[in-house]
Amino acid sequence: MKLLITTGATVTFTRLLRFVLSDPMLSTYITTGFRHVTVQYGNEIKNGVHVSRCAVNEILRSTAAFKHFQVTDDTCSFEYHDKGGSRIVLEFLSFSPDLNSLIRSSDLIISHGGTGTLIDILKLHKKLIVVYNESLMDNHQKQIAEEFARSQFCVSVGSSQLEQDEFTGYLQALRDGKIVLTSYHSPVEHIVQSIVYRELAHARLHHSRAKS
Amino acid sequence: MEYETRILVRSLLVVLPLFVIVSRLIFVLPSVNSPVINDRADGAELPSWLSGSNIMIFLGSGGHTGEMMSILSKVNLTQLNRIWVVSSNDSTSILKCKEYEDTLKTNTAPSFISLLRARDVGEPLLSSLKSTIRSFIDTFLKLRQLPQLPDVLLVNGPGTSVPIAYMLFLFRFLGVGNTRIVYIESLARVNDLSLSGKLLLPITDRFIVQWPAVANRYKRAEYYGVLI
Repeated sequence: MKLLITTGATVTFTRLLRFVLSDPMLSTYITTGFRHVTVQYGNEIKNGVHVSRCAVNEILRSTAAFKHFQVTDDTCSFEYHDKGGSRIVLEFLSFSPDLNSLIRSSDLIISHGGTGTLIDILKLHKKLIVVYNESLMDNHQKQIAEEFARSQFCVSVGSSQLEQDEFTGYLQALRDGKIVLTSYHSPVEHIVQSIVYRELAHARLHHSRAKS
Repeated sequence: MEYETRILVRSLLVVLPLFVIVSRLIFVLPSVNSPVINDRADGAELPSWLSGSNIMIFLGSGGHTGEMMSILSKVNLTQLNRIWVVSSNDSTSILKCKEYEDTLKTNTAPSFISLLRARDVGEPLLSSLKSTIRSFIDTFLKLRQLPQLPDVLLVNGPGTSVPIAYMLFLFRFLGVGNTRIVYIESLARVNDLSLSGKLLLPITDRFIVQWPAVANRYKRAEYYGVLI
């Protein structure tokens, strides 16, 4: 099984990165049955320093499993063998211009609360856990994530409430179908098209009146 | 007597143009004279007499572009002339838009306009003011180069979309254009409008929001559900 973790492009979501790249979570991935984990860690660059990459490397240094690994390039991957002989591949990328194909090839996704990403994931009908960033100033991510969770499109967790056992529970329940998510459909299929066509008609009628 | 006449002429010189401007504004301002519409989708096809109309689509970068492309996946643009507007050095939006264009089964080529950014996040006030003015002038020049002004501008923020919308409204005010503006507020705005939403509200012909709480706060806001 493949897991995708996407943390957003413009702001480094350190809290989520620290949680998903911890030793206990790594064993959770293995025991849950994931063999491939892709981590999109962000592309925040300030004064020529790749802030997101520095954050990831600092987190990796603090783990037991990956303390000797460093993310150096835009994409790179590491292989990890645990004591039981299970193998897991971790792939790191700062940012993907084509997130959709990554989403499509994943079985489960842990995502930040960015609206665009959420909608992309829901449209591809993937199992989704949203971790909304509670340190953002204007916290609409929380409202949207909770609204979506209420409609059972996803599971939502706040970045300050990340907790290993609970999270492992979500991963396993989603895997086993114990949490059943609703397929996302936009309720109004053609409304914007009708509005655009109607406004075009208004504009053109005005044109022809002005000419005649 | 002569003194009084002079006063009269002078005040007329001030009052008359002011009167003309205000009455023209009342005549063209959508927020004053367009009724509140709330129609359901009929999913109708484009009437044949509208094919070849010009639609301008503003891609605001990042999440704004993402939402716009998602909305457009449900709008049939094949028979329209498409003018895409992107901020300079926003290569991701251009990429997304070209991807979308590839899926259209049409042989009419789209056109692209690239605009200067209105302001950068965290820019100091004075240089922010300067870059805003520069962006207005840039927008004006780019619009002048178009063979025809768009019939409809479809826009969903952010702040960088404000100059082009106001410029098109100015053309309408002056009677040289008749672009109708359709604004779609971001799904991210659950309780209140964004700044660009507030700034554009008076000049848009259709103002669509995606959460009921926002719709309840603003009389002209239309709400149909999540659109993306």
